[in-house]
Amino acid sequence: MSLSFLPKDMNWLCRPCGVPLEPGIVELRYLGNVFKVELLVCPKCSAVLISEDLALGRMLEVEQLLEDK
Amino acid sequence: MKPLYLTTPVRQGLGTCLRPGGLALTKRIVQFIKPGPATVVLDAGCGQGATMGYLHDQGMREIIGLDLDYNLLREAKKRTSKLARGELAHLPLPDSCLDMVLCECVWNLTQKRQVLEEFARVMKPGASIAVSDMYSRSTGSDDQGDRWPVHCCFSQATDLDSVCKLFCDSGFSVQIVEDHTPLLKRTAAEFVFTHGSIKAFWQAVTGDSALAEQACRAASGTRPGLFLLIAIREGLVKSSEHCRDNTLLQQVTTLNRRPAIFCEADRRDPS
Amino acid sequence: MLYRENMEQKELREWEARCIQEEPPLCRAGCPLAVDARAFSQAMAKDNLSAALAILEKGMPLAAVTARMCEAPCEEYCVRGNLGGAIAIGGLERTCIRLAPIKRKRLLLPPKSKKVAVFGSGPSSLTVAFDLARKGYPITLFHLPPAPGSWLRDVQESDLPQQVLEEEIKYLESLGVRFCSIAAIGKAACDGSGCDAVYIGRDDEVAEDLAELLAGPDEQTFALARSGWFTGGLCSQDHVYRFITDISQGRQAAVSIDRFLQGASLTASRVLPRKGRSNLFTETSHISVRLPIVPADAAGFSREEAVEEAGRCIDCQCLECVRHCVYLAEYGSYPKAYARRVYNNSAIVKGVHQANTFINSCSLCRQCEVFCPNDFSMADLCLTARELMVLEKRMPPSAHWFALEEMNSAGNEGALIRHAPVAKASSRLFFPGCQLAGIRPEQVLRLYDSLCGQVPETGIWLDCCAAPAHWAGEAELFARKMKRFSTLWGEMGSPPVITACSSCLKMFRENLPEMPVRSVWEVLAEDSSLQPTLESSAPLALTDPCTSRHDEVTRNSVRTLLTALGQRLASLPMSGEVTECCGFGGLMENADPALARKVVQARVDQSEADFLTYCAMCRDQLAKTGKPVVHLLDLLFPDIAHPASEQPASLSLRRVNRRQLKSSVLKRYSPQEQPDMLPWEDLSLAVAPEVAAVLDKRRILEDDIRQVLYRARQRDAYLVHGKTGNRIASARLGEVTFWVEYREKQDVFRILRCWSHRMTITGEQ
Repeated sequence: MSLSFLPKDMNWLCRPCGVPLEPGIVELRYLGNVFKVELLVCPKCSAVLISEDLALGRMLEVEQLLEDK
Repeated sequence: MKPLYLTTPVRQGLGTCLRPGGLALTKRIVQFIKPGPATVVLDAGCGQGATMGYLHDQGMREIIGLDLDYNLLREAKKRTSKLARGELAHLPLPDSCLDMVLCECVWNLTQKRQVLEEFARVMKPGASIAVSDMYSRSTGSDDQGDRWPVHCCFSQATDLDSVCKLFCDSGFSVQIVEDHTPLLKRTAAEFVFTHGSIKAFWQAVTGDSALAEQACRAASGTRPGLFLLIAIREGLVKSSEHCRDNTLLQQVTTLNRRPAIFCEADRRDPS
Repeated sequence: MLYRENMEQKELREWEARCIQEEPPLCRAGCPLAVDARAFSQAMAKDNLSAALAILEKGMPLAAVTARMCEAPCEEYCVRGNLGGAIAIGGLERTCIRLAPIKRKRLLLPPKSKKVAVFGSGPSSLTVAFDLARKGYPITLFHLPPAPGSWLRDVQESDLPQQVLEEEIKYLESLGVRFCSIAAIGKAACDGSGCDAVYIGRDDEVAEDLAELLAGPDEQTFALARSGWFTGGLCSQDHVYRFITDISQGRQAAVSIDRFLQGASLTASRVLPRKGRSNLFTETSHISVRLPIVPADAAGFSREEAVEEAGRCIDCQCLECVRHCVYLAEYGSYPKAYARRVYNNSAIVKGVHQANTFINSCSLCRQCEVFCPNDFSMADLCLTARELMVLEKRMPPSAHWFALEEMNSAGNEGALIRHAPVAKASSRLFFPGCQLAGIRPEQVLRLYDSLCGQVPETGIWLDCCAAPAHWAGEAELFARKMKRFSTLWGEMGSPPVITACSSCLKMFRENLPEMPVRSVWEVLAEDSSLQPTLESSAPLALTDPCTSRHDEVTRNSVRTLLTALGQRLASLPMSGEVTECCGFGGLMENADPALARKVVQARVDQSEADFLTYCAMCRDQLAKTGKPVVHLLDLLFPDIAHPASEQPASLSLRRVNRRQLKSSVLKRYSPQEQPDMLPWEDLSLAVAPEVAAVLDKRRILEDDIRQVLYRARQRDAYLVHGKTGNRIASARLGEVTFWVEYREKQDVFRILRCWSHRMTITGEQ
């Protein structure tokens, strides 16, 4: 199941590679679970952008769910 | 209102295998029981036929599927023809004809005891049954949380001791009971990623904010987990007296204690 | 792998036995029918007659008669008895039954096959008929002429109206009781009843020839020697509580008959009248005397008078601990129920709290132990649960992560252990503790200097005492740390240790008994050279830290110091042994910051005066509410005092302070001793106050940001926004990935936003 979390503002460039980030599939892992999501990724060096909203929203909720908090 | 497994968010989330963990537990069942091409197996609650397809890939050839839902059966028909529409509480099968029964995330939706008795009727002595479903990890507290607003596999979930006892009383001898709650959590996590939060998931299912909150509270009270149980059809004796001879089950009858055979599943990703 | 989620049942029973909240109030314990007189009075006090009546009907047979006739032995036990006078429970019952007549429902009962003969129609016999008929037994009641009721028929009309008695008899008939008039209750009649069980009520006239058969009834079951025969109603006519006791005996006999007819044991698991015995303890020191209401009409209370009289009911509960603890009150229950929940590990459905948060939020301050008559300890319950969770790998990783990181940091880059610069040995070692070092490094140094001034061979030991590991349930980690402390201490020559923190003191005392340890306040109090340094000063409310609860010596030393300094104290009753928690201990602040805020707010609300403490954690926790809080060191060293209104030190600042303290100490030794500056330490950050507040709330340290930016600079790897030129960098530090959005100008990093997550990323697919 692929989920897409592309930010509204996609205007980010990878500094060392000099190219804009593009949508790409990334694996997020926690406590033995793997989730494939679509995020902005550098096509050359695979650097990923995880937005504040995603980190403090869905990612945090999933982390706590998996921890059984 | 539709049962949970037929609602849009769940069908979209779970895909063909309408249950948490997909084929992961099915693989485990096949590993344990080791059926062959001649094994006559019933997929009780076969849905769209994903499990039947997998069993066929593993070399089995005598596979029967049964389900209540026309639309799901229509999908299943594309893969196989040995299908029937029927209720698990009244199986359209003669006595002692099956070698194996699979019942994955269906049992909690039915009249559980009656269905087990039917399974016992249609299985040969020595035949294997594998059941996976939800169980309640909160044991006998005063706070049972709210009632479930949706008919779903959670609403009839009981603690594991009660599950084992029901099997015992229906003429089965329990071989293994495993906890696979991580698979359930993973499914829940995927729903959170999709919808934003657990409450938002329930809101997408029920279409109602108050019902969604009720479902969240019900989940808190039940503390659902996922179990896999494999048992063998014994002779015709039905009483639980018979079960006491089985040392594996001696601890099952004690309240508030997990059976010693209850083991945490391999934490590695089952794929 | 065995998966044991629950603790043993036996342990649970031991926990539950300690908490007496579920013990009955004394009025109920003293009632021969165990009527819930407390609930009844509470309902009457709220003018809720139907609820009050329901309680009477639940506990009493033939409530219309019983409520009127009951002599109310419960009043003897009423706790209000010593505080103005017992509640007139009997009077309230009569008022209730008068104003809210019973509406009886028709019961349809599946009839049982076994028949019962009841002889006599006094209160006990009528009760037997009532109880057994309602269970479906066919009853034949043999009464003397002219009509059933025995001596109740002779009671004056104002006390028991004839009509009421007749209606109760009619009700019994509607239940299927057959009334038969017989000339005399004698042996022939009883022998010839043809029934499976026989009851003979002695509260009616009974013939002489039965005397032998009625001899020696069992005291508890009221069974007679002859199988199937029972008796009751044995009170003499001048017994003070004749009526209600006879009723009670009838009830007990009915239970026996029911069991007998079912072939069950008459005695197993039987609940007998308690005769006033109860373990419920109620604190009454805060309850003022209230005199009984005297009804204007001698006949009884008016409705308003009844409400007022019932209002005097104390509502005896224990709940001593809950009364004083914000945490216990928050979860709306009491320790016995909590013990059950913790052991069942069930979710607590109130604000969608989970049991794990509940277990992790207790501050472990042990105030409940002091108040509980049985020393119930939420601290022990929660600590045991936490340790089990850790052992079984069920502790959510993020629950105590930050506190453990702080402990590690204080134990690494903030740690050192040395003899005094001029010395080669130490006659004592000063252990200020990591929190004081984090908020008042210069005061720590001054304190150390004072100690060296007293005794030059005073060594210094900077570290964290590992309390966070203990509180987090990390028993193994904590044991390793203690072992390491023991080794280090041994290497320093095993001198006595002086701590500036009560928590450190407690950790060492309880876990390293071989190490002599005292508080620095005790040491300073011995120095008689202290002079009053203060001019006129307003009184301060002195709050003892919870870890000093049982340390009278330290608490007294602090007061000695304050007297010598001339500091007046404002009254703060909840101090000393009953002192309150500040929310830091037990890692409550970590597990449930909102609750910690409530706790600390409740504390500061207890006094109008500014607060004074000698614990660094209490100081900063209390100051979060905006209340001015003085630390004892501010009074001891007024020239380097911090303002009482100072806001708590941020998490980032604490790290920096600890490093700087270590650095300052090391400066006193040879220059080669200076630790190398960490490569990222001197990165210059510009952080606006709003941003700083967000960092603190999200537990992101400036040091974390420095490390992220340092790596970004080293690798020259970061993201840039196409339009604004803002940059984003990230790095994984330990269990967490940190993200920073910033702008760089002339080597200064202006921080715009920061966030973090625990999930890991594995590249692009």
